[in-house]
Amino acid sequence: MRRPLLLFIVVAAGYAAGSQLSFSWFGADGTSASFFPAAGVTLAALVLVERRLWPVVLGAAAATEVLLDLVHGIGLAPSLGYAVANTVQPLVGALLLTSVRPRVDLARTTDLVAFILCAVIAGPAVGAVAGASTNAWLDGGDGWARFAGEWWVGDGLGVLVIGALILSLRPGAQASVHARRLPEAIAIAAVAAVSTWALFWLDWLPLVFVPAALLLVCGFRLDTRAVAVTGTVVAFIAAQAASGDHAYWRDLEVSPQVGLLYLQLALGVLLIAALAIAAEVGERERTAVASATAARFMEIADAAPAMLWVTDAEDHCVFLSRGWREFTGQGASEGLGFAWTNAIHSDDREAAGHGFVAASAERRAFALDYRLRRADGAYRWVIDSGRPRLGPDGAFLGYVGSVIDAHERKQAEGALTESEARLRTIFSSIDEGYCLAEMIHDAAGRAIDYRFLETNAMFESMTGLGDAVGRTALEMIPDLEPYWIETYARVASGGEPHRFESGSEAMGRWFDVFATPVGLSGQRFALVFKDVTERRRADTALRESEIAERAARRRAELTARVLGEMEATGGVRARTGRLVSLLVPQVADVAVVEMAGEESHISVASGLLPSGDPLDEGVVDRLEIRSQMVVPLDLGAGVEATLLLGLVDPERPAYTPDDVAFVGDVAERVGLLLARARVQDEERQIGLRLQRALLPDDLEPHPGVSVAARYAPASDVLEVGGDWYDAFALPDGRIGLVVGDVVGHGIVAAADMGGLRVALAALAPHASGPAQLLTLVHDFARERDPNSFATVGYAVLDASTGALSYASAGHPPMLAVSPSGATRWLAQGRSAPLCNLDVGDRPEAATVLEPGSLLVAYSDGLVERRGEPLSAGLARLEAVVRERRDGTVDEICDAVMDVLTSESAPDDDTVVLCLRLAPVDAASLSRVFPARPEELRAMRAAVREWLDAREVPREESTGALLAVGEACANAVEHAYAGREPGTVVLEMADDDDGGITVRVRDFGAWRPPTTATSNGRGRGTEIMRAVTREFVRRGDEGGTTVTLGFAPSQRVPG
Amino acid sequence: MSEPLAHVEAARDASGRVVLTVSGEIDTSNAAGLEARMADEAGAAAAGVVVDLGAVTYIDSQGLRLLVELSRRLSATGTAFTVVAPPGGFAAEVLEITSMGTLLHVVGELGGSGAPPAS
Repeated sequence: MRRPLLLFIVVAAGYAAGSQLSFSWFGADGTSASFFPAAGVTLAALVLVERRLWPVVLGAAAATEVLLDLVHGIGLAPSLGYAVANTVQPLVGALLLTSVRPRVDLARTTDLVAFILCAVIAGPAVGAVAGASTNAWLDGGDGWARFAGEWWVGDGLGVLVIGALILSLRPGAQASVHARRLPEAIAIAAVAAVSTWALFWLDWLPLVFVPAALLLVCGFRLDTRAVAVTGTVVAFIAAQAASGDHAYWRDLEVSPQVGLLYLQLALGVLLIAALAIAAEVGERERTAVASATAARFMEIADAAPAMLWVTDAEDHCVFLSRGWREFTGQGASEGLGFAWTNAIHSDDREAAGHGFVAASAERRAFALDYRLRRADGAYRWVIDSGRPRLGPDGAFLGYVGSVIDAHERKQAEGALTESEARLRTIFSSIDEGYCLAEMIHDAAGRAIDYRFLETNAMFESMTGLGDAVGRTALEMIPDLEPYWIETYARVASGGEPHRFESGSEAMGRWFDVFATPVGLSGQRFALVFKDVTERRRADTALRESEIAERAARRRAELTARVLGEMEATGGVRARTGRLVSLLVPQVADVAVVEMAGEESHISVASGLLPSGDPLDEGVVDRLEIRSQMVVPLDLGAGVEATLLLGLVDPERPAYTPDDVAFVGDVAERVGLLLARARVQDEERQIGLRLQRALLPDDLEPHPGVSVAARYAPASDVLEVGGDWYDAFALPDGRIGLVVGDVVGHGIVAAADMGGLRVALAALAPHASGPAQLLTLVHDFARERDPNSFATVGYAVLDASTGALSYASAGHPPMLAVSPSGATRWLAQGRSAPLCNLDVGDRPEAATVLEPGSLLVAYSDGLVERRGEPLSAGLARLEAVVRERRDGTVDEICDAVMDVLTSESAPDDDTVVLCLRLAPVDAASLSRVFPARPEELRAMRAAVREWLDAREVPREESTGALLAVGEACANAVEHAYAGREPGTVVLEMADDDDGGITVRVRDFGAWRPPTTATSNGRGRGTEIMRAVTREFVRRGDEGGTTVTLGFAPSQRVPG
Repeated sequence: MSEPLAHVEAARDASGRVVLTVSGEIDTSNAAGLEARMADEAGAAAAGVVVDLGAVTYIDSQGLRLLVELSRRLSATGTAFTVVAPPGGFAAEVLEITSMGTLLHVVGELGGSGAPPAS
């Protein structure tokens, strides 16, 4: 906006000045139109400014014209008419001129000719027509032709003088006013001015040749600029003079108008001539210089070893030096035009061509690398550099340049340069971010930042850091983690590439970074990095899903284990116990199940409680539980329980809703298991009550024995029932002992057991012995229930003698333990269990129990253990009973149950029955010995000792010893004749009256006493009869008992 | 087996009788063995056989049978058989209880001559 205004003012002022001068010289009456400098101002302004500003120029001229005309008393209409004439005239001139010569340079002959024809002659001709018409028709003037002629000449001269002056003086025009000729130009202008002045004021016409000659001198010696200046000076002085009284024309005898016309024409012709001479001479000089220069250049260029070239403004190569021709082997003019590029390596040709054309478009210097084919066909790396050639007027003429063989240097630069360039090319095109940076250190030498020296496009798009080059990392990312700077400082100084993946919180991204030192300065490093944020997110998501999957699997396994182990356990208590112990530490550090009317089940992870701390309900309060959940357990039938889980370990993550859902799911299924267990527990209670009801409360079959028994139900609710024991007195005073096991469980088995127990007790008195009883019971059981299956051990004990007969229907053997600790398994008399099969005759066996002996009967549940042979259980039982043989039968039962069922809960019902045969009084003698003759001696020693202890008188003791000896010898000799010797039992006891009763028992064949004395045997009987007050000999198939009664001593002891 | 239950020593006295001194116990376990041994020793004697039971601590019916048997065998050859049973000893008591004095020639001491011990 400012430029048009300034232009308007400048043009208006120039026009006003030129116009006012014209008015002052020749008046404004319109009768004469003469030298009009304003016309030159307008034209020159139009030529100098762009066409879009022409309206401003023309507007300024028109407005000034109208204003001045009005001021000088010219009417509005003619004023407007003159304004039109004065705008059309330069418009036509400028249009014509600029269309043939866009950039007018008056130093060129062609431009000068165009200027004169278009601006000086054609434009003013149009203006003259318009001006004359205006004068004639609007201004009341006459003489159209004379007015037009005067206008044409006056305005033409104005354009010629002022236009040429302005156009030649404008900055940048022309090439050469040699500075040394400036004084000459000034001198010529001065002399011309003085001579012109003298011409008019001295009225000496011949002086006219002086300025004319000087103008021509100017033309020859100087340039168009000097001509224009001198011409202007002359023209102005002449115009000034002509307007005065200096009637130079009188000498010519013409009218003043004609005189003025002549003067102006002469001046114009002279000026044109001078300008033409100046232009022509200047051009010739320049041409001569240029051709001389060119010739010299080519000469030098050909002489030089370098490859030199020249192009013209159209980029055609116009010269290639001999160096080029020899190098490439191209002929003299072969490479001219564009053919020189044929010698460029085809891979480089396009890039080189582009580089050249791009530089040329901007007229700038350039340097290109390419491989050039040598005459021998080898390609060499060259550097081709060119500079623009400018004409004296600054016009672009083309390029001059040189080509240097840089192959050696290029090679020497080696792979480094090449690879660097290649790398850079790669880096700029790869998908990875790339940057080159330099560490910045503080005064102490600590790395505190780094500056980006180079980046690629991906760098910006990945980091979002635009225009990074030249700026530092902290400038761009003020809160960049120090970690990065430290890492890069290490890389830069350590010289070792480093690859790592790291995230920048400041940037919110993750990068896979390859950092490598660059150069040997220890300061530079390059980074190639990839944005792995998305991949990491995907990884994280994957990892999370893996973790979730693993957790789900672990949970499923835990669920399966909890449910499986609970199911394998019987009873609410046991199952709940399994539950809490399995949940710790898998899902909790503390697990508690609280149930109404039940002791709480608590499990605490090991190490959380000080050792010795009680595991009671206070645990939950004592432990610092950080996270907990309470889940209800529904046991059905309105039985409610709660499961509390707590976390104490600070390392463990708190419970999530997911955890709660999981535990809730487990709890639901656990609830079902517990509900089932609760029902089974109830059934078990019923079974147990029934079982207990069917077992005898009190076992006191005989005063000579003490009996105790224990029953322990199987840990598994389903296994309850079926085992029993019994001990009862038989009508003959002996004792029946039973231990049995009905196979089958639960209430039905308990009921079966009850039936068998009663049947056995009822049938016992009617059986001749254990074996027959078993047969009877077998028949009974088969009839009652063909499917029943039971094992029974039955024994009949004569408490007074210790005689024991027994039989077993598939039942494990009873154990006999003597007071001295000798043990015997009563393993004979065995037959098949009670079942739906014909078994045939069952055997039985007999033995004698030493007084004080223990008899232990039991069911298989006591000695059977999974994974170990039966013998191990039997050995354990044997050891326990032997060890505890001095205790009461109750104590022994407890000990047996304790030891044999302590290691693991019994899988089966367990029964143990323990009987002790009353021991012989401490004052009595009891001796059991094998029926062998050699045993007699020790027997007699014991008897002697016993008798001595009683201070029995000699004569009496001899008799007693003799009688006992005879009885025992008899048993030894006869009882087991022809058989494996059995035992002989000798008992001696004080009678209430001070006498002695001796009993000698054997269990061999009964042999009626003989009275024959021939072989001495009858003598034994005689002896016994002789020395005793009572002699009884009783026997049956079971053996013989001899009772000897001795009367109290006849003498007073001592 | 410990020490033998009974021990037999054979000797001849001034009158040429075989004196069998028995110590220990005699029962069914060793009676047969003793009987064989004593019959052996007595077989070569014509002047008579003396069995000294003074050191016997037990003798039962089998022991007595042995004595009766030995006595029967010697009497068949006319050899005098004497049993020495010091009064108060075990053998004397047994002999008394069984009235064996009627069947055997029992004396109270080795030097004695046929007079049975007083009862």
